[in-house]
Amino acid sequence: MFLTTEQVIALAPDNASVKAARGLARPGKWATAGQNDQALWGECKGSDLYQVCVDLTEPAFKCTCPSRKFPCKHALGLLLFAANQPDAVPVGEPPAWLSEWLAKREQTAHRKAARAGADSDLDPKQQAKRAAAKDKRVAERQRKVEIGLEELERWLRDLVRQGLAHAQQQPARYWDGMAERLWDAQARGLANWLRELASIPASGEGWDERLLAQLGSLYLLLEGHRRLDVLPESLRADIRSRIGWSWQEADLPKDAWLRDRWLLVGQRGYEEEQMRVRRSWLWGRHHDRLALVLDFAHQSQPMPPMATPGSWLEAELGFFPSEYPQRALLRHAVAVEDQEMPTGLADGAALLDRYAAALARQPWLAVLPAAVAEALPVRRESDTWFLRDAAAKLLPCHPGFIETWRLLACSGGSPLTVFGEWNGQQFWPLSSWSDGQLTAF
Amino acid sequence: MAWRELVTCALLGTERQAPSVAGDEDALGQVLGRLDEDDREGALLRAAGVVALWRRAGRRLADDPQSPPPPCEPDAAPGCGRLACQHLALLLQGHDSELLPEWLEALGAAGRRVPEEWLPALLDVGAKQTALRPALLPVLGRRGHWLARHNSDWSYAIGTIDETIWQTGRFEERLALLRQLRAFQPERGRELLAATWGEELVRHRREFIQALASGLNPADEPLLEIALDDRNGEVARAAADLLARLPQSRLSRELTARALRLLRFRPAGLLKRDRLEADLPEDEPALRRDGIADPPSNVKLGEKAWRLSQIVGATPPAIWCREWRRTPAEILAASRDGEWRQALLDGWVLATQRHRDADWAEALLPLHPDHATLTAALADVLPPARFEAYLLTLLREASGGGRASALVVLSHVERPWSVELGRAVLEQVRQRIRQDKQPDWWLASALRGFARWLPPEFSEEAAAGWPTESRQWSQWETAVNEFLDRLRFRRAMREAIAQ
Repeated sequence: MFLTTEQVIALAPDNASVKAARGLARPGKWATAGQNDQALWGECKGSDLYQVCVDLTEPAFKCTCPSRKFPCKHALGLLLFAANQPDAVPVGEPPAWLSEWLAKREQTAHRKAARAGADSDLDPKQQAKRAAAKDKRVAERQRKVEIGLEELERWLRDLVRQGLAHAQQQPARYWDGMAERLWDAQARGLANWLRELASIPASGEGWDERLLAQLGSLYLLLEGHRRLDVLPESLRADIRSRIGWSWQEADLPKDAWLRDRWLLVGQRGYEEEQMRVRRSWLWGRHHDRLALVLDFAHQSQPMPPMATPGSWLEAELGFFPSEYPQRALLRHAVAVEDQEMPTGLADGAALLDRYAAALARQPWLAVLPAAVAEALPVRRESDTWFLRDAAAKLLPCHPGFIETWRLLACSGGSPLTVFGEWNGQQFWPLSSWSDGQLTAF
Repeated sequence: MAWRELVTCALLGTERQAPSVAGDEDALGQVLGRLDEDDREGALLRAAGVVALWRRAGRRLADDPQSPPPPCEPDAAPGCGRLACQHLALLLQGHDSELLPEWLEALGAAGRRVPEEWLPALLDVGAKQTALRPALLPVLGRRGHWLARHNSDWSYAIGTIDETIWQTGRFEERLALLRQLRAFQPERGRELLAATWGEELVRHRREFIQALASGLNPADEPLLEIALDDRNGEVARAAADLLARLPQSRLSRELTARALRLLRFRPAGLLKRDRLEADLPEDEPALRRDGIADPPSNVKLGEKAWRLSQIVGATPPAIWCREWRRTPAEILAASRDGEWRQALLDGWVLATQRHRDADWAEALLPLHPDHATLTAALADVLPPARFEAYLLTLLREASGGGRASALVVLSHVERPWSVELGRAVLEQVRQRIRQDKQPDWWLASALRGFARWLPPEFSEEAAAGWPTESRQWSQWETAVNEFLDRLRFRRAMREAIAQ
């Protein structure tokens, strides 16, 4: 098990915990310490002797200390210690107190699974009651969303009647107000979309085209929603997803789940509406499929744990229903070792063809993930960067991508395979490889 | 279908202009043809949605009009493993960044180079910290040099130096350029400075002159002579200090000749020991020009005595030994009862540092036990073996004063220690803890620094034998743990590189 400091820090609830953990990440603090494939454990010398263990598969934490922080500084300290001085945490057999805890966890997991299964064992009356309550909630939300969408349509029509030039003069409130009303109407996907639109009028040359293209796409979505009943199931799901309906593990159909060995081929974090978002792209080697796993955390909360780019997971991914399925939920993940890399598309034209085909099925597609082979990073006037493909065509890099120099360093002027997100205009590199060694950006 | 027309209409607003959504005789045109033009807003938004999507899907890439730059030759030297990279990441994040030079040196010693993806971060650090460059440049590999050619911030790494900065850069950039040139091509650095000397601002001149200390050589004298006549006293003094470090300079020779006239050595006679007599120099324009004018306010010596100390300070100390056929210790003994003893001592200390004279340093050290920074500066003049021998002697002294002063000296001097010295130092620290002493604040913080200079393979041994039962232990514990932690990290760091 290879841990990195960044991974550990990402788990911490706050900076004070990281600092305290750094102080514990040294041999003198641990009476015993050990690890195996599944877990890390140790006995930390604090004001008492605390027994700490970390189940690496989830990860889950357990410590006998009274701290209310989770994970506590002892668990983080143990992880940091193992990350920086792996030799000091030898591989061995877990002690008895740890086996007990792991066994207990397994039992709980079984009980949970049993309870989930037990839903169907409830008597029909209760079942009907639950289903009715759920239907009621859904219907209530549906009503709210519809009111929100009607208002959005009026707002859009007013906007083009008065003109984009008029809209450009409007204060931020003009856009935020509509976004807020959509948020309250529980159409959060649209609320975020509106907030993105708000930045276009001040984005310089070509803003009018970009804004009109977005408004058109938004209007198409409203039209689609109005005709939801006549659309195929999966496209209906796309429209609902874009509006802001999301999927819980229990709601996904059984055939949505795909078991494979997944390579975490790229990852990117950003902030959205006081939330930290992490996008992880996984590539399944047997099915040659790409999946997007999103994780969210409030500002002060730790991100759910996730492997780092370049590592492999044996796992099931449950794809959200879609005409062009990408987003997925991850379950039953176990870290494994593997080698294979996805084969890159031959050139930029192949990427654009695939993108066009994807748009034909799902016109609101935000980005297309792909690996492009034989790509050469090049820097041109005024610090603009491109990937030059095998056919000597230029694929523009996204201006938000700041690791251009690292990408150039990795290439050394020779082409490599670059994996990233294509948004129709620009490519955002997330990783690259040339001889099976993945570098993440 | 003209997308531009749709955009124009949208800009103006449908209340001013009706959208024209008629298309060509193609599939797109057929879709557009079905739009209801009476609903102006609906027609515009629908057409925009369809046409934008059509354009998005039909996008093509531009040809590259240029040919790409030549690729980098493959590197023969291997990179380093994941754990070593992780240590590097920690150092770059500012966790113990003082250890970065050591990491780079260890990498070079192992015949390895910086892994590609870390080159930009390190080249950036090297651009800001010139002191890091000697360790960084040898481990950049071909890839690093290739990369540096693509970014003007990194030009320091490709051997050719961008001298236009001297004409166009800000003061900090120009100073960095001068320092860099002085490290590798001192003549070129001086030429640049000499060419613009008359135009430089007073507040910059002193720092430029001080930058000449690196790579100082006899050819610098003419420029320093010009600076000696600077109207600003600080600039002139900085120039005088450098001229005094050049034994063949006019300033050195004249002041040496003056010193020889002022001091008289009286060899031992039948009943007399060696004696040293001195005359005091008067204020003279010639002396003033050579930087010896009025004493700084913090000097305890009288005006004339201070002048004597400065003249002796500009005289290479080895001259006295040759002239009088005595060792430094004998000369110091001869000066013991003289009236101007302190002035002479100050002068010799200054001259010893300027000329890095190890014999004089060794003789002077026992005379300054209570002056920590001075002792450290003199000890730093000693070559490694004599430095260690001196400190080990101090540490084995019976008197607590000598042992304490050894620790103080070591907290000021930046150079690696032998295992033997490390052992003696730690024994000394442990003894202080055993004696139930309150932690001296300076020693607690000096421990952190000690961890940088001990041999890392010593970390196991260093961890054992601490008096944890001592009453004061809890007060020391944090400092000792930090010390051990750092030492272990250095060991882990070196082992990871060697793997």
